[in-house]
Amino acid sequence: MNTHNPERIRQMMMASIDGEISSADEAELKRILLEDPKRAEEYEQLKNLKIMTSKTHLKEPAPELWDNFNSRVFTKIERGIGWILFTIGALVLLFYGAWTALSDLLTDPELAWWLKSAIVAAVAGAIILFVSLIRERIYLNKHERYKDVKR
Amino acid sequence: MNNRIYIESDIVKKVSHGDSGAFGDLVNRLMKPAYFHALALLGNHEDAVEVSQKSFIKVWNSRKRMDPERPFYPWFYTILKRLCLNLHRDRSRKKEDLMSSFSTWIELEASEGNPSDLIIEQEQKKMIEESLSRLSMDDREIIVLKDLEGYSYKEIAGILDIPIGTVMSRLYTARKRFKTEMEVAGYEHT
Repeated sequence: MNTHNPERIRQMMMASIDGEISSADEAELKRILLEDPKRAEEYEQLKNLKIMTSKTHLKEPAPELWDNFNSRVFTKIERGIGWILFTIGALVLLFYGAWTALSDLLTDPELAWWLKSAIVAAVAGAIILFVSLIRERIYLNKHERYKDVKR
Repeated sequence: MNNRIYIESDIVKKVSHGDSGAFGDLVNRLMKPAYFHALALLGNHEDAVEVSQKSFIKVWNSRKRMDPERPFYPWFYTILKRLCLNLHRDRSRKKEDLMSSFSTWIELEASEGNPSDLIIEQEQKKMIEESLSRLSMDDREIIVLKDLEGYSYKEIAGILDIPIGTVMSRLYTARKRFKTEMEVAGYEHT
């Protein structure tokens, strides 16, 4: 094995600091560090920092968090379903109201034809824009789900 | 894989078929690792609670896509980390001071040293917390998983779905940057 490969040396340093090194590699690392004082200094500094950080841990939250965690997840799922149903119902009512209003307008004999055409064009345009937006959202959701996750 | 984060494939299978009891069991078993991993990435309690709970909701909503034959936690961690990245990105866009979102998120292990040692350790803890908070999410993630949470290289490789060699390389880079931040914070090597 090429022991002068810098990447290999770095990995051995980490394995030694973390106690995950074999005795053969430990001996080899010791030899490398004896020949390279700058590397040896870096190793000691990183090792001391590891000793310090290992004396810390992530802060424990209040115990009540665990008592309520599960129920809060289920509550949020229920509310999500509730919002979806509410939104669907509201949209249906909105479209029904719009359709009724439009029907009244378009069947009004006193309304000029060009005005009726403008209303139809505006509504058709709004529907096309809305469908296009929804389709783009669905596509992004399906195909780029993990684009932000760095590996 | 570590017992803390290992989920049997039959539980995953039940969840994928819509078994809410199995899902509740899954949440109970993984809520602590999920919370702590979100805390490591985001540095404050409220965000960690919100993101960890949201992650489980996304798991439930995506249950039909679950593969019971593959380890569950790496897939779950991907969801959790993506939510953390999105939150972080939203804050950057709003030009919020990202450092101010970090609150006290690290504690010292119980020590039996004399009072002057304790003062020094508290000071070091504050430096460690500040320095870790200044690192990128990736660097902070790998140092916390190894040094604070004590996962082995193999376990970290499993969680992050990367080779063990990459774990070691990332650790080296992260620790170098952490060393620089500590020096900026006033730490003096003995």
